[in-house]
Amino acid sequence: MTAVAVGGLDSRVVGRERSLLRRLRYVGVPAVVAIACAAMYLYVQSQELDNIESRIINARVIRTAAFEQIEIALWATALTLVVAVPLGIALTRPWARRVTPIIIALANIGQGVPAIGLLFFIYIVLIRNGSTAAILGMAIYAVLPVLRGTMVGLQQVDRGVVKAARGMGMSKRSVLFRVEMPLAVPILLTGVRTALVLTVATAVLAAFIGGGTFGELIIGGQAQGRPLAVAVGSLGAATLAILADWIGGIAEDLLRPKGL
Amino acid sequence: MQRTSNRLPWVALVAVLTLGVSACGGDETSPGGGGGGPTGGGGGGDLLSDQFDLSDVEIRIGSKDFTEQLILGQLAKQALEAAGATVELTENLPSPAGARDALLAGEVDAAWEYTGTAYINYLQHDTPIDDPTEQYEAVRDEDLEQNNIFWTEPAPFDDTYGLATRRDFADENGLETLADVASFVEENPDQATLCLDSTFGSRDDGLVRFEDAYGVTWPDDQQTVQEFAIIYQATADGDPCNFGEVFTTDGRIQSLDLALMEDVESAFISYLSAVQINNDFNEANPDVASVLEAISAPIDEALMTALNAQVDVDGEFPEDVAAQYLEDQGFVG
Repeated sequence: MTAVAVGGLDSRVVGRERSLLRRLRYVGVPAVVAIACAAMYLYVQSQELDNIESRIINARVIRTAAFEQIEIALWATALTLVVAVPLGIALTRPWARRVTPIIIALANIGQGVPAIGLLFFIYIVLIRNGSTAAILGMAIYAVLPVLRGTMVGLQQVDRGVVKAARGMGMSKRSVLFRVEMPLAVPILLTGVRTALVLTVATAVLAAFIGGGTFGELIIGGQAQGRPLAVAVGSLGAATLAILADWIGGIAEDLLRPKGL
Repeated sequence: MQRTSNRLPWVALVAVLTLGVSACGGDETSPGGGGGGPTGGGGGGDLLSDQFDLSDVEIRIGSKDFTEQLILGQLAKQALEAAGATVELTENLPSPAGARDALLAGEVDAAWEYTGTAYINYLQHDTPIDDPTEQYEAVRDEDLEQNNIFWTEPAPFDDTYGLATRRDFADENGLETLADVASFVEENPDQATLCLDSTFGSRDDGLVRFEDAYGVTWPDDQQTVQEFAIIYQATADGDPCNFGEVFTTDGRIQSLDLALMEDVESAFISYLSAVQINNDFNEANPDVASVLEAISAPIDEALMTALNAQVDVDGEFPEDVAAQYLEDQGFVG
């Protein structure tokens, strides 16, 4: 936990201290997660599980749940990026000025609709496959932060830099790819990281429509008054979300253009 | 709530009135069936307002978030109101434990419950008792002792798990009983898709009972675990499942024209339904249980299914269905 809190501070710290903190975060986050999981494992081992608990809490169920949740989150994130990044670029071009507010409003609706309602709607009306329906639902849900990230990232690029690049004779296209995009990368990556964490965390809802995930342990445990199953499912989901954020953080550090 | 001092005169008055009415020749026969018009009730001795006076009783009732519970909750509310009580009904408490939690926390005084849910979820057993009456008695005794919760006499209707499939699929494949389903699973595992909720797969009285009784193992990769409420539609469409877990009294079996497979080996255990009442409240107001027992006594499985269907098939409101029932049975004039 401390490692996560420290991680959030690093933009305010500078120089050597900063890289030290970063290294601490790289090691600390997985260490804390590993300790939490190990503690839970030992606790579960020490308990005598009844028939219901042992059918919900076992290695096979947990492994399947983790794979399902990662699969849903990765596909949803990929789908989100494929839609939101090009859309964000398009919407910041001068010719798109008129439609921008409309698209943003639509993306807002995507995130404003209750996620669970969206999932049931997609499942019942469109796709009778829990995983696929969940991927689509999660993607709709995550489009807004990535779209926003892309747009804000591009908009905060100094207009002077863009003008200078144009003045040097660069085409609009090469200004976008060689000046604007690299400068927008940090904010864009934050959007991607948000999308990943959001989809990993909300993927548990897929359990309602047959998509599996750690939500199955949570719902099954809750439905049968077996709090241990709820705890294991919650820890599993939280572990994945924290690790997703951790990987996202490392990716941000590595992909951030040199000199920024 | 004054429960003690000014109570006696009322009791005396009620006693006198009841005697008087009985003397006038009202008989106790309750008309059966749910769909019929108002029958008999009018002048009989069944009128709740003649038998009970609960005008000094204030009671809070909770009901869960599905049709049968909504109807039963409305029945309790309207019956107690007819007997003079002031009733506050909290509906749509989340299944399965919402109403129970509210009861334990003292936010409601009474709530309907099924013996199976109580035994497995609340009293934390994993192996249920096969005989419905023994199961009820075990719950009643244990819950009173452990949690100070009183159980009324159960209503006559059973509710239990079942497997259903869409009608044309059943006809095509000659499926009538769970034994047929078992052979189907064995012969056509690729078509044996099953939608079930998270409890059915993990409870001792769930899928494993079917597998043991009919000697078959349902392939894991053909099972889709999802929210109970959407299983019915998924089964009716055959997408994604040809078979679905259902509750036998659910009105949607009728409304979606599902074929309920007959449990020839009695694999699934029947559960009874009764009202849990906070025992302190029950001891202070013993007539509440009597009212609830009286109104639930005529509800057998066919009648409960019919009442559920009036909501799920005909689109009526649970409160109207409950009101009609009380009138039909002669509890309310």
